[in-house]
Amino acid sequence: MSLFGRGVLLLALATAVFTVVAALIGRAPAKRAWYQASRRGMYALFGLFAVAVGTLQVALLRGDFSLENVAGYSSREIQWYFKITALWASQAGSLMFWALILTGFSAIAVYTNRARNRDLMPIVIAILGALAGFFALVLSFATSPFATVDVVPENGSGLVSALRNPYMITHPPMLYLGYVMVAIPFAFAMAALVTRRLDTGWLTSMRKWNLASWTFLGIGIVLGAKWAYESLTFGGYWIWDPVENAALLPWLTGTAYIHSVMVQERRGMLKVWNMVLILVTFALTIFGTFMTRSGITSSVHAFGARTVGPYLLGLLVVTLIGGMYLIITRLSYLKSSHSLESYFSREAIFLYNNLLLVGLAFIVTWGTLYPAMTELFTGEKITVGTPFFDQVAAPIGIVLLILTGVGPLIPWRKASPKQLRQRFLWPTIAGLVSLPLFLLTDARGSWPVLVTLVFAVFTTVCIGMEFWRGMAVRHAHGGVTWLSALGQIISRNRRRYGGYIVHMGIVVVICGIAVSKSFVTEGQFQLRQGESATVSGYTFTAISLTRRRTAQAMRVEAAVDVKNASGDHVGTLRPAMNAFTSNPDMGVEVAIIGGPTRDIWMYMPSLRDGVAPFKVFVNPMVSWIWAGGAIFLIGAVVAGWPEGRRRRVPDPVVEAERAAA
Amino acid sequence: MIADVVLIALLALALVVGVSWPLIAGGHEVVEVAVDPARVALDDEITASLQAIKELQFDHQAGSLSDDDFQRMERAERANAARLIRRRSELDGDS
Amino acid sequence: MTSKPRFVIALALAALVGGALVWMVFGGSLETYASPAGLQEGKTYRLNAIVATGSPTDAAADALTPAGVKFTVQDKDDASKQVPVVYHGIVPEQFKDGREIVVTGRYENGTFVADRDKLVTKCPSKFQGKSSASAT
Repeated sequence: MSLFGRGVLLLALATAVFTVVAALIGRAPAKRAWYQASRRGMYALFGLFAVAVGTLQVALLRGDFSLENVAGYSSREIQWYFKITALWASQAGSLMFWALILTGFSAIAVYTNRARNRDLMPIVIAILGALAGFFALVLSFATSPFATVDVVPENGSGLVSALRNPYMITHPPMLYLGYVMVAIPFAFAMAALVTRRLDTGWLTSMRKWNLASWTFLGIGIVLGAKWAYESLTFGGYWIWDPVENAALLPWLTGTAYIHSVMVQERRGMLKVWNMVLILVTFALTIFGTFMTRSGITSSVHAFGARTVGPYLLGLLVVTLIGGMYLIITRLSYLKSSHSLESYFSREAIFLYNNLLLVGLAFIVTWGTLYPAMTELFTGEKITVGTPFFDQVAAPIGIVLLILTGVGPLIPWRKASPKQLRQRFLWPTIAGLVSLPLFLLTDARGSWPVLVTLVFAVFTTVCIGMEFWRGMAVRHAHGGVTWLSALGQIISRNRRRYGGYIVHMGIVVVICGIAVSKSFVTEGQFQLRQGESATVSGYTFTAISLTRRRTAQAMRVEAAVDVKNASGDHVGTLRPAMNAFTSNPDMGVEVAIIGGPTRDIWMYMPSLRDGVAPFKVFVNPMVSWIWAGGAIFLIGAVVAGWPEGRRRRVPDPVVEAERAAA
Repeated sequence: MIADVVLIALLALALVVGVSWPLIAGGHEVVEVAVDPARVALDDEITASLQAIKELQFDHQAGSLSDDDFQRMERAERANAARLIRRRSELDGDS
Repeated sequence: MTSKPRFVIALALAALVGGALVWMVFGGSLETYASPAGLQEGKTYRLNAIVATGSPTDAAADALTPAGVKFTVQDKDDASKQVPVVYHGIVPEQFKDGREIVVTGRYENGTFVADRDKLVTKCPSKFQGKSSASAT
């Protein structure tokens, strides 16, 4: 099993080398056969990684404990689906899974472009083949997924309890998909630079890829936050951990890229900036991998072996130097066809949004790396506290929220004062009216929250009016109801209205973050059976506290009845704690009663002599973050939905001009 | 052990033949796609251009573009589209 | 037409102001890791050490009383360097003699006064916290 797996990975390495060489030869128009061979090489790479992953998967399912990555991350008892997901619990396994996704996407990109971009594709294949080769190299010589153990254990040590969680099944693959997908637009961008084919052709081909990778990253981040919230013991969803930051950073620059690309498509500006952004986004995915797997930053995500660090650092350096070299030598091909004409234009707003997003990404990188840097240079061990990130992200987030509303309402090139007055009248009124209403609620306790909420209303009305105006235009054409007018404008302008729905999701997420971060009520108390305690108007009564032995663990569990201030029954919390027999790990089961306005979160660390300590959080509006994530996903799907085979209706004016010419 | 080695060898053989088939087959290889890439690229550009005109019209009707801007930008985009379509007809005429 | 230099100057100014604000916030949010050997009076630290033998068996319950739980920690490499710690809040189940912990607080009058709920035990197993796989 081990030998076969290693052999397949070595074959992958050889195939990758061949693919790169064949693609480079195949650049010449006359060497079509070589180009075709390189395409087949790409498909073969996918096949080989699929076989390799399949081999490890069979070993995991059969419980072949002679393999290190089976013995360390699986055991006889765990459910079959966790045996499958144990693939990405180990470092080597997760890198191999990564390579599988990378080659899968590469194969799709090669297939869908088989009749297009003949001049770009050889370079694209060379870059993607080299990346696949990099993984084959690392998996063969730095950290093998098929490494064997000297003494074969009776049973595996099992999967850590925090990983035995439904999010383990969805969250890592989502993030991998997003992370890895960035490689495709990156490869196309670099190929466009190499071949000097810098028109918008490659940008158009990459639209869907950009959107997809950015969506997967976003969903992966939200799922990760939910995972943390439901299975860790700090009662929150985001602590600016280096690994969380590693996922957030490419999403921030990716968000900037998605917006600035529109400026290039529409106005032929920001060409250099876009190249830099896609390069930085891709570099950040590698940097994030490096950061979390080299051990240079301490994180709640601990990783095992640290052998892959130097390889990833090498890849990062080569990527950055190569990319910058290409951009600098091609500067003359990247001239803007227009210049910025007004500070109040769509393109200017996109530029501000880009600067803020990239600025935020820069600051987060700085805060994440600062401890490693000071330790390297001064030997002093320090950490950057979460307040730093919170205080920096909050104002930038609020300005971005405003731009989200303002951007789509401002015309390209130049806005006239009259237009501005007309378009922002209602949103401004709505914002002003909402202020006294919010002052009546608990939100008055925190002015940043007030500001956020008022501008959330402003932005919501801005977005709503965009929908309204579109519907009005369609309805004025006649023959449709308002509802079908809505359906028609969305289906005919998917990218635009999908984008607005995504914006709406972001607004909801920002509201949830602002309120839940600012108005947490925390309580701690100890209860014996039958005793009660009160936190933030909620009364908690311990109905039962039990300790029992299960098949896998010593389990402590509680049933705590919750009543609100008026004495109504809200629900029953059942937090638990498992001390596993097979490993020294503790399985925490946090209990949550969710709701649209507040969550009640409870953690029980122990039970001694019939007394259990409890930690309780009343977190307002956390569920808005998950709801916003769902809206975000819906919007992204609308924006990316295939256009469908439309009948080719000739545009009358163009046809007339054509006839005249 | 032996089985593993044999399997790997078979896989390697299949790989070499499969991947380098276009090179082995040489001139006999049928060109997979008979479409001219330049023509495909042109089609893309025309679609993008027509889409841009539609978006301009929509923006104008929804009030996101002033009349002056709309007229200037739309005229430019239409000229562009017409030029692309002419080039496509020339290509089609040649073949 | 807006002039390019003016735009660049405006951006540079904005970046400067933003940078200054970030820097001010940054200075206040640094926390220094320390071992029991290197503590200075009146400063805030993240103390990384090992729980010395003789810690209360009922630490979890004590920590919720007004007086808090009192225990001693020792340096990871040098057992003779010890510091008393006072702590309030939730005590992790894994807390016991010989376990490595990280606790945030101030060093005052020869005692390390921990912040509420800022005690974390380091897990001896390969993994701690949520996962090896998430994010990358």
